[in-house]
Amino acid sequence: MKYLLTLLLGMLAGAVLAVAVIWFNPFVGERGAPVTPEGAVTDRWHFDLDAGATPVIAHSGERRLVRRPEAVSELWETPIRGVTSGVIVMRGEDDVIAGVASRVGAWSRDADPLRSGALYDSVWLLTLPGRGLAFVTQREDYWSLLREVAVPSAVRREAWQGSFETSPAAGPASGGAARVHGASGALDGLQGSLVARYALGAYDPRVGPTSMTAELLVSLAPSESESEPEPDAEPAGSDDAPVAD
Amino acid sequence: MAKRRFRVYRWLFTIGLLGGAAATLWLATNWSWVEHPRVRAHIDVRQNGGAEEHFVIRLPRDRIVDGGREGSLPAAYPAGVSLPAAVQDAGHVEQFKLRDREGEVVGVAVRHALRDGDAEDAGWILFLPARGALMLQHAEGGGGLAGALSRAGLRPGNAWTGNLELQRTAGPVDGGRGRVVGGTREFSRHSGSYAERWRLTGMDEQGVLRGTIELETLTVIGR
Repeated sequence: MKYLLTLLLGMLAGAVLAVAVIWFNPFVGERGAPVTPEGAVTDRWHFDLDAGATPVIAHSGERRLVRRPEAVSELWETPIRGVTSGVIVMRGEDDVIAGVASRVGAWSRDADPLRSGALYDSVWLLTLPGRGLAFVTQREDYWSLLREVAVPSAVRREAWQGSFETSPAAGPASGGAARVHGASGALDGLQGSLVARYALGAYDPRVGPTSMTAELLVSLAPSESESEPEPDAEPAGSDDAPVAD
Repeated sequence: MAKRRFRVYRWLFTIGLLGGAAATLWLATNWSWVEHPRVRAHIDVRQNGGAEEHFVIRLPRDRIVDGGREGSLPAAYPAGVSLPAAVQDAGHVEQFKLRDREGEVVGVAVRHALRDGDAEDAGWILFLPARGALMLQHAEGGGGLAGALSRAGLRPGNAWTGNLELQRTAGPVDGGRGRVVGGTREFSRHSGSYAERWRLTGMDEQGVLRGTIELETLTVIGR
C-alpha cells in the first residue's frame, strides 16, 4: 500500500511539474521583440471596445465576451458555436474614420499549450471608403493574455485593472504578421501584412476585456508574385478533405 | 533493510514523477482542445471543371447584422446597430448565418459592398469553422438591390410582394461571375469563381426582405 501511495504521489508531483512547465513554457505566447509588418508601414488604424468603435459582437452566448447590441442573433447552431463575429470602426492617425471591418474568427484546432499556444484564427473584410475592399487572414496566440490576465482574474474571481500590452501576432505571413490581400478599387493588386497591438486596461472574468485599445499597423505594396498557400494549409488527401456527393 | 526500502520508495517516486509528467505532457499535446463539428460537405465534381458547392442564406432569419444604407435599402438590423454615416454613405456591411444546400447552418458569411462613383464592388467571407474560409470578390451588376426592387414595383415606405431574381455578380470573371481571392486551411490553395443570386419574394414596411441569397462556388486547387 505504501509503495502504491509513493507511486501515486510521484505521479501527482510529475503532473504538477508538467503543468508548471506548460504554464511557464517560454516557447509559446509572445517572445522576443514585438512583431512588425513586413515592409514600410503604410497605414496606422486604431479602435477600442466602446460601442461606437465596436458596434457589433456576436457569438453563441457561451463565450466570456459581451454581445452587442443586445438583440444581435446568437450563433447557437452546433457548427458555428465556436465562432465570434464583429464589426469594427477603424480610425486613422488623425482620428478620422478610415473604414470599417468585419472580423470573423474561432479558436484554432491547432491550439496546443505545449507547442503552439492558444491560437485564434480570424478573417477580416475591410471596407476603406475611397480606396477599396481588402481581406486579412490572421492567426494570433493569446497565451500571454490568458497567463498574465485572464486565468489569474478567473481564479481570483475578481476584475483585473492595470496595463497589459500585447502583440499576439502568430501568422500566417512570415515573421508572424497577418496577411492582407487588396481586392478592389485602388487596393486591387496590393498585398501586404498587418500587425495588431492591444493595450488592455481592464478585464472582467465574466465578460472578458472591458477596456482595451488596439492599434493596427499595415504595410501594403503591389503584389510581386502569385500568392503562396497559407502556412496552415492542410495537405492534399487530409482526413478532413471534403466528401464529394 | 531500511536503506533498501528507502531506495525502493525513491525509485517508485521517480518512476511516478516521470510517468505523471510524461502523461500530462502527452495529454496536453494530444488532447483535442478545440473541436469544430464538421458537417458533410455537399460538393459536385465537374469533369475537368472543378468542385461546385452551393450555399444558401434565408432572409430574414439568417441575418446577424445589417449596417443599413444611407437613404436606401435594406433597413439596419438589429435594433441598436449604428454605423457611422461616412461608412453608410459609401458602403454596406452585412453578416449572415450560412447554410449548405440542405439548409443546415455550416458557417458565418460576411458581405461588404463599396460604391466608387457609378461602380460598386462587393466582397464575401464564407467562414466555415471546420473547414476554413473562402474570400470572394465581385463587381456588382443589375444596378444594385434598391434599383431592382424599384423596377419590380416597390414603392418607398410600402410593403412589397412579388418574385424578383437578381444576379448580383457581374465580373471580373467571364460569364458574370465573381472571383475567389483566396482562402485558409482547406481552401488555402483554391482559386475559381462564384455566382451570387438573390431570389426575393417580399419586403415589409420596415424594409425587411424575404427570400434567399444563393452562392454557387466553383473552385479548383491551384492558382
